[in-house]
This record gives sequence, structure tokens and C-alpha cells, in this order.
Amino acid sequence: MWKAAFCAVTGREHIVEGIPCQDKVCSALQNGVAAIALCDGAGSAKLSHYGAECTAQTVCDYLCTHFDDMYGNSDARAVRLAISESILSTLTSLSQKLQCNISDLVSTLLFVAVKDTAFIAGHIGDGVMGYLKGDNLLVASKPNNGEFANTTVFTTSSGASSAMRLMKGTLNEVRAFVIMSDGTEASLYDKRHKSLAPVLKRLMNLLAWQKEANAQAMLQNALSGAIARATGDDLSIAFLVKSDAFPSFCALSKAEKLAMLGIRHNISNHCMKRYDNILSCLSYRAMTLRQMRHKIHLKPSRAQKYADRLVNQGIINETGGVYYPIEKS
Amino acid sequence: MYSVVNESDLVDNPTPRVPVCLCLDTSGSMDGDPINELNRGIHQFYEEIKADEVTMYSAEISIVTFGGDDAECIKDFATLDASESAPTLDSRGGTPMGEAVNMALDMLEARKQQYKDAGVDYYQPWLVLMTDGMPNGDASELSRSIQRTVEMLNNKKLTVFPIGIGDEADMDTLEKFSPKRKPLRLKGLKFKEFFAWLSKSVSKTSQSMPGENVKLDPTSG
Repeated sequence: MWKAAFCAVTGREHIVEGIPCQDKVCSALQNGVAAIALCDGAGSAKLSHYGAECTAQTVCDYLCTHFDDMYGNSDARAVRLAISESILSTLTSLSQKLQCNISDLVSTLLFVAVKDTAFIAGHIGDGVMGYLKGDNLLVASKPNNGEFANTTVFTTSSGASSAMRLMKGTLNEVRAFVIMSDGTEASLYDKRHKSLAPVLKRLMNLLAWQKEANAQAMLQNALSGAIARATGDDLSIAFLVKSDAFPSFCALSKAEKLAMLGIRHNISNHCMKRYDNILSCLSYRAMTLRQMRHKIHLKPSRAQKYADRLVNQGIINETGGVYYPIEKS
Repeated sequence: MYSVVNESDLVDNPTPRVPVCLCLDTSGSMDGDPINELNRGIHQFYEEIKADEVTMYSAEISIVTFGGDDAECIKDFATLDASESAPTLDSRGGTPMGEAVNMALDMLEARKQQYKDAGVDYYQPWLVLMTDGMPNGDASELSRSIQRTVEMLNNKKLTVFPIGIGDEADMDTLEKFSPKRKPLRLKGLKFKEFFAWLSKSVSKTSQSMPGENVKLDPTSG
């Protein structure tokens, strides 16, 4: 089953200048289609936050309504044109409503939709799209900035339709997709090696285990901390994850468990077993620390240490001293 | 508050660069107050770039001079070190302007290729061309340098700031390098004021985002 999670955070520079967040993200689950779309409004366009929001919603709706037609159409040019015209139509209406030019509403665009064993994805402008196939985190579409750092293609740029990268295919072993704006790309995409930061794989795994509210909170936490400190730009990211394609923590290999725990050195199997035991306890019912350590025979300080790491890495929850398992939705 | 993503999880991408080439007349006619004021202006430029933390890691400065018989590369494109001092330029000889601009454009192309190979983003490069007289180097080199510059301008690959120093500066030739942006004549020897404006402009550009029109401060005065 595919689930979506997304988040957008206003950049420090925009907060200082009183500019609203120009990154907009949305998802849709309709007609058997799961879709995500992300738009980054043009910095110079004064109402681009409205345009970005409108474009993201339009594209999500379009994907859910027309997925089969799009996937079955072998004329990629016609599909690009149809998407572009849909965006232009909505932006035209919005420009009339806001009494502005369409150029005040422009943005970049990334989208992914999945249905059954098929996917469709598209990209205009900067930002990055990636996917997890088996255990390999791969880039599906690199940033399209043009030659210079402060130039890119927007949804209504001349030639935007032909500049749109459009992809479709069968999912095979693909377990997750991620799309992000250029602000987030600066920290999670290696421009020299054209690869994605490994932490994205961990986030995908964690999101597969989370309920929607927890997933949003987790992404908010992820963007608002170290990533927000690294840039003044707006930040946004969206995931589609196939939750039943990600094993539970106890079913992971030791190396995978270490990655999920954020531990960069090897630990003894005995220590690793303690994490497994805590999760086993919690799979039956929520517990206090005291109840947990009695069950698995640990000293208080040790039990606290293990529980803290599981909470810090988003693998279990804690509220008022009671620890809860993360439930798959 | 826990943090799902830590600093150590992030990719350390290099800062996008603003390559700025100062192509400067150091011919004999610049002797005395003009070359002294030019040196003071460059010194101030260095200090203002170094004082801005963002710009210091973004601006890559190169200096090509034209005086004597040939052009000379005083400094290849590189960011400024905190301890780096501005060079002191001497004046002598003729005005091989074409040779200098061609050298500057060659250095720029080489630097852009290095950026691409290393995955470093960069902004549109700047060429600041300052002269107090008429070019008297090789005519074919001058012609070639004008052609290359105009082609890059037309393809939006370069921004040129042509500046005439004093009353004897050949503004007609400077205009050939920049048909769309009229060359400016420096007021008196206000090099310091010009380089102060230049460092602020570089700073603004280095912080611009995709889709943003960078509005530079006016050059009047």
C-alpha cells in the first residue's frame, strides 16, 4: 500500500524579509492513484506562493483523474502538452481572480504518481527526484538550472512543455519516491557525485512505519533542524513509500538496524538484541521504562539509554513517560 | 527535542561561485595619482569582500592587467583568503587591451570547465574593463576580443562593466565591448567608490535565488 508524506518550511531569509513560504507540496489518493507534487515559486514573482500551491494541486488532481490515459499514451509530447495546458488554464483563472499577470504565479514542478504496478513522474526546473529500488537509492531526475545558479525553467517559461522531463514505467522493485525543492537539494543531493544523501533511505523506512500525523511531525523535525540551518532558502520534500515493502525493525539486517539507529560504529550482537527486545515488548502494549527494564532485565540507566535512542530516531514514541510502538497504518 | 536528521547526515556541497575578472589598464598614462588610486580601490575591494562571510566564499576574483607590451595575469580565479592582500600594480608602457580581454575570457572558460568538472554551481561571470586611454596593441586581437565579448553578451553568458578613467579614455572602443550597457566614465579618480559599489553588487548576486532578478544599486555618482 502506498502512502504519502510531505512538508514545507519557510526559509530563514524569507522569515526575515516577511515573505511567505514559496515552496508548496501536496498529495492525493484517488481512483487507486497515489500522487505527490511539489512546486517552488519563483523568487522574483510576488504571488508565486499562490501559483505554486495552485499548480501542485492541479497536477495532483490531474494525475489522479488521467493516470490511465497518460500511461497508455505513447506520445510523450502530447502528454507534456496536456499537463502544461492544464497548469496554464488554472493559473490563468487564478491570475484573473488575483488581478495579476501569470508571470507573478510561476514555479518549478516535480511530481510522481503510482497506480498498481505503474508510475508516472515529471520534472520542470530545479529540485531533485529520487527513488529507492531494492536497497539502492537512485536519482530519477537531476536539477535543471540552466548554466547559472540563479536561473531555472518555470512552468510557464517559453519551452517549458518541451523542457519537462516525463517518465513512466513499471515499479518492479521500486519501494519509494522522493521529490525535493532546491533548498532541500542543497543538503540532500551531492552535486559533484550526482547522488542522494543516504539519510533519505532511513527517512523512507521510518515513514513506512509511521501514522500520517507522526510522519508529518517527523518530516517537520527533519527539515527544521540541521537542514534549515544549512540554508536561508525555503525547504520542501515529499515522499511516496510502499509501506508493506519495508520490513519491521526486527526483520532488518544488523547493518540496516545500525543505520536506522544512527549508530556509525559496530556494536555487539548482545547490545543489538536489547533494542530488539524493547521493540518486542512494545509490540504487545505500551510500557513505562520501569516496566520495560523489568521485562528485559536492564539497569535503569541502560534502559534509559536504549529507549532514548529509539525515541530520538523516531522508531518508538514516548509521551509522559510511557513508550509506544510506531504502528503501521 | 530529538533530531531525525543531523549535520553529519547532510551533503557538503560547495558554495556557488561568482567569477569576477578585473581587466585593468596599467599603461604609462596611469602613472602617478591614477595608479595610486586604483591600487587603493582594489585594496578596499578586497577588504569589503573579505568582510562579508557569504561573499568571501562565493566571489572568485581574477586580475588581468594591460600595460607594457602584453597582458599579464596578476591573479587567476580564486576566492580570497582572509590573510590575502591586494596586489600593488605598477604603470608602464602601452595599452594592449585586446590581448588582456582575450586572456581574461580564456581564463574564464577554463574556470567554468573546472566548475563543471567539480560539480560547483556558478553565477553569470562579470568582466570589469577599466582604461584611461586608447588601445594600441594588436588590432586583430582587439577585434577578436570585441567579437568574443559581444557574442557572450548576446548569449547572456557574461556581464560587462566598461569603465573609462579620465577625459582621454576611448569611450567608443569601450562601447564596442558592451553595446547594451553604455560605458561609464569614472568621476575623477573615485576608484574607492566604484569598488565599494562593485563589492556590494557581488554580494547581492552571490545571495540571489533562481528566478530572482538581481537589482544592483545605481551607478550614478
